[in-house]
Amino acid sequence: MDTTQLLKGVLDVAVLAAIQDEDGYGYDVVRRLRSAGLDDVGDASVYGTLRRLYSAGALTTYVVPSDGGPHRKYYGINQQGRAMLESQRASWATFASTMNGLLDTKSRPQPVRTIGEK
Amino acid sequence: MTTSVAQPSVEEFAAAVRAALSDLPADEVEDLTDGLEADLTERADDPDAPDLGDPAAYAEELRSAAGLAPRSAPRANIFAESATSLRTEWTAGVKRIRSSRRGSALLDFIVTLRPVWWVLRGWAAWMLGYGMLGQIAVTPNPFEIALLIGLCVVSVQVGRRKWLTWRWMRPIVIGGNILLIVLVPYIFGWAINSIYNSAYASIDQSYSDQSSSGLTYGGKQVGNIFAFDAQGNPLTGVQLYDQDGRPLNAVSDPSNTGYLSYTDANGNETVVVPSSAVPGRPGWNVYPLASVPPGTITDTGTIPPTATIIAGVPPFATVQPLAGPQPTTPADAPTDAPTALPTPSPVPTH
Repeated sequence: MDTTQLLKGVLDVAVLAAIQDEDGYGYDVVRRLRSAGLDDVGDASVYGTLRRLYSAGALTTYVVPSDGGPHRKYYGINQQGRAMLESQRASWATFASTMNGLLDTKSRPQPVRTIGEK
Repeated sequence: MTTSVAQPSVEEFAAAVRAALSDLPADEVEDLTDGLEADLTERADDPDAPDLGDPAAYAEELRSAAGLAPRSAPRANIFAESATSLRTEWTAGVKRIRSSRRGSALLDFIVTLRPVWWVLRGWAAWMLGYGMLGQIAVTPNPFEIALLIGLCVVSVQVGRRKWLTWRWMRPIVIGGNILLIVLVPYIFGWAINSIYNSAYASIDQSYSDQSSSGLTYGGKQVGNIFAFDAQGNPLTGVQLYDQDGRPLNAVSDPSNTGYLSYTDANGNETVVVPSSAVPGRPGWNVYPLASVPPGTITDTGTIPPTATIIAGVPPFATVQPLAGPQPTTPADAPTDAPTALPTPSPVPTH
């Protein structure tokens, strides 16, 4: 199964979760997600998501100059971002348990026949 | 440390990504790619990082993840491309003209005239507004003048790029300019025509005022005059002149007018004719004017010599005599014989 498609729907909540404890810059967030097991996550997808969450008011941002090299743009979660994270966490939990129930072969209910079906 | 080796490719990659986002506003691109070099540089040092791939695909991924529309649709692209090529050609053309000294001077001259166009544009927009309302103000009222000034101010401010400078306004301004450039000759023609017409109309008005009516009183035509003496008896054969010695003719063109037709308050038509007793001209200033039966006028508008001449009948047989002593004029001086007209002295030149 192509996990990149699955990832698209949950990238927001994944990025919010990745910076909920500690602010991070673009590649930093990518690395956190990869180390958490999301190997297929694309750099640009993460950067774009950070940018969009910032536009939506869920993140704060600040620039930190790095020694000799180009500056880094850090992102941090704010109140609104935390509320968003909580709401999406609940949504994910419901969704995941529904999917688990659906996919669990042992507990799968027998299909009900309709009248007239042979 | 491989940074020094990776650096050029990082720069190139970042540049390629920015190029792929070039259709977005500059600040948007800046927001999206701020810190890109730092991330790419760090990534280049990361041995576990997967292949970075194509910069265009990277830009597309960045764009869609940021919730922005994909790069402009092909149709919009054609439009944008033609606009770009037009701009390129324009710039090249300007450069060509600028390359010669004479062309450069001419261009500078035209550029100096730009404010004239701004004011003209305001005026043209104002005129166009009247055109849509279907009328033209040759003598505008204060509100219309205020509107004209307002439009000119807006036009000049737009020209100076002080007002309406939003990006989306630019095509509207350009389109409006083209429309007005096309319409200005027509608007000019229309304005000149209207001014000419109104001037002509007023000349015509005064001309017709002079020509059409002979004697009027309170805006209504005076068809006949009845004079009474101090004793209140009607007079006949009274010759009237104005303060300049001009005969007070009942018609404006006495020598070419054979009769005057009027309808009295009771709706009866009366056709009066001039007295024939004045030597050398029709006696249109000899009152009361005699009349002919309306039916005697021929189809060609003339009165046959055989027509019955009826003496003017005054509306009153007599009027009240004047009070007090009368001036030296003898009371029996006027005669009731129309043919015995005394020669006026001095004889007026008309």
